[in-house]
Amino acid sequence: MNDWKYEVDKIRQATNLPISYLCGTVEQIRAESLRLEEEGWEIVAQASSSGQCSIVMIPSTAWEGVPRALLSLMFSEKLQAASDQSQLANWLHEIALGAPTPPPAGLAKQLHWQEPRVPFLLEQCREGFSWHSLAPILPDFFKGASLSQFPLPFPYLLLAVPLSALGSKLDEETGLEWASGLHDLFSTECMENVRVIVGEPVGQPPQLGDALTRALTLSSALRKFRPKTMVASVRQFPLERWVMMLGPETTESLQKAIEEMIPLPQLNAEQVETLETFFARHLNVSETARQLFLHRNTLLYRLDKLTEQTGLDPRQFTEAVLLQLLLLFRQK
Amino acid sequence: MAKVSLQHIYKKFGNNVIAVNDFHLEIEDREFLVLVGPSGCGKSTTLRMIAGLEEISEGDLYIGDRRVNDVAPKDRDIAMVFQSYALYPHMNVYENMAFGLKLRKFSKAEIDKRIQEAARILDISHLLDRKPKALSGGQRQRVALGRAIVREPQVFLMDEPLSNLDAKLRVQMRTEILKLHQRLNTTIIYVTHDQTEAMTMGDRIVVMKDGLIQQVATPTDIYNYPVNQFVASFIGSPAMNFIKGRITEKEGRLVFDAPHIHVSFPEDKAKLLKERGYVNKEVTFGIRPEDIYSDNQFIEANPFDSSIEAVIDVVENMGSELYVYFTNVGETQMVARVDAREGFKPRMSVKLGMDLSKCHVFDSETELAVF
Repeated sequence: MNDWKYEVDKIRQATNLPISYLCGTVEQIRAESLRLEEEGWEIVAQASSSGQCSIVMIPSTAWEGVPRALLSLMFSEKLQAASDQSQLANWLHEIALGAPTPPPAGLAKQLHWQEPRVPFLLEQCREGFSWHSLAPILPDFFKGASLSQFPLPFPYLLLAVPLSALGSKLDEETGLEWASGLHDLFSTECMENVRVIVGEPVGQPPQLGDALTRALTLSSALRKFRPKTMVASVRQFPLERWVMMLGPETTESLQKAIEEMIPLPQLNAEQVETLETFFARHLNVSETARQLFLHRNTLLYRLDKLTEQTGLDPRQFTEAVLLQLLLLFRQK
Repeated sequence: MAKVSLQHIYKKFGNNVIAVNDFHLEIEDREFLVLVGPSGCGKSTTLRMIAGLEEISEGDLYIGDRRVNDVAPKDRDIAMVFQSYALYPHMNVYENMAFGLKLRKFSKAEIDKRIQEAARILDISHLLDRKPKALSGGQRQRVALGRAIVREPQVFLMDEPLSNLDAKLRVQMRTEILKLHQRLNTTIIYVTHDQTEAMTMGDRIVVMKDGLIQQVATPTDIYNYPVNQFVASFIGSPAMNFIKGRITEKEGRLVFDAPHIHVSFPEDKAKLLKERGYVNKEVTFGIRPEDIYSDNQFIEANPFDSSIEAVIDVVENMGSELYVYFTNVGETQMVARVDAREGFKPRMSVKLGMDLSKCHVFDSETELAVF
């Protein structure tokens, strides 16, 4: 419904006739619409979702004949679209609750996207912050692009952005840049810490379910294993995602098998932080040292000590994989 | 512009973890306050509580005269500059800086005025048409600062804003932020792990460890009068030398006694040690590297027995001075900062003199400073 605001602006500019878009809580909108109705305005379109209400109003006397008929036609289509959108939102809500269901019948037909959309899963890191405060910011940020926002159970919101709003093509690096930009937007303008996970473009609404499931899996993995990572793409952190998806019995037996092969002593918090950062930085010594605010030699000393203590050298790929798996199983 | 008052602030995670423990401090209007400490000391958590990004578990937070514990972060009239400077990828520098003001419905003229002024201060006027991708790290960080400046907040919060920059740029931006503070004349609360940044930038420094404030003072006082061994070791590079030993009385003088080192305290320091009951007690002796001299004139002129014999392990040549590392004082490695013209080399035997008027003594149990 956020695109109604832009449509109304366009209609006003094109026709030079009075037309108003109102958005707010149900109570606010009821009070304001009553006031306008007393002044001779009428409601052309109305929709509500998650406690938020949007209406479009016009003064009856100013809109007559052909312009009035065209306006009604336009908004009857939009109301149908809003209803389909609400069906899609409910389905995604079910998926986020952990109850995967097939997409509603006919969804692809009713809600046909003209172009692929890029899903961004937004995750609040603080209770008491309402997604409603983002409503006016996101369309402005994406310069009026037609966005779909799907509020999900706390702490999530799924945002689907038309691919053209992000440029002609989207590789992983560009996707991460946009995700960082969104994270930056919430930090700077709303002073809120929001984790942003960018998915791969999806062609039609029914594919949004799979995209959401992948993003939710990564979100759980990050919360568990990389709580400080605030921006990610669904292709990143494959080991973390894999461990997160394993059932408790499989996790236990795998952990047991690896620990029997390599008895790893308990590591202290500093060692765990060093290893986690080293793995997150793809075994790059310089970047890890910078991230940990350490001198490179101090990091090398710590890694040598870890090798001495565990018998595994984290600088060697295969040994790093074993160490990382052991750490992930222990953390899980 | 506003003062910020943190009254007995706590941050607790679960039942056992206290990330910030009774943080109590008045930050003056227009002050540049630096929170410094090692990783995990609670400095960023404190800043994030001021910003509203973390909830305060206990205590009261005031910005100006308003209690803001329950005020939404966006309504606290603060601006925060973070370590990462992603910027908005599709907007040029001008649009990046204008975006927040547009949301707040400022007029075009006012937006333009603020952006031009901020760009002039930050020396980025020539970059206003560029997209973030075409900017260097330092330029991006300036834009991030610009976005905060145009909002004209009461308080600026900066969380490690320079740590993603290379060493040379960091030094340059340090000066820029100081100049910015002088021009904007507003309150800045700045978090860093880097003691050099803290020393060079802060009007006052708060040194933190394990969630607790260790000391709040001006950079000079923190450096010269550390309240405990942690502060003494954390501030200063190379770090202060510490030697464990005992205070004894010999022929009417108080002596610091450790293997291979026996130095007599000047009268004023001896008096303090006696008054506080440290005679015949274990203590930690501290001396900064620049208070160890290599020139004979100092050693001969020093009225007290303060010299040590040393065999040099390593010499780091810094150009204007040498860092001379030696380990033959007991088991402890020590370092002295001496004139580069001394021409010291590893394995040389040298005699070094300590300026005992500048030495420190710490209680071995509590680690608190005696002086």
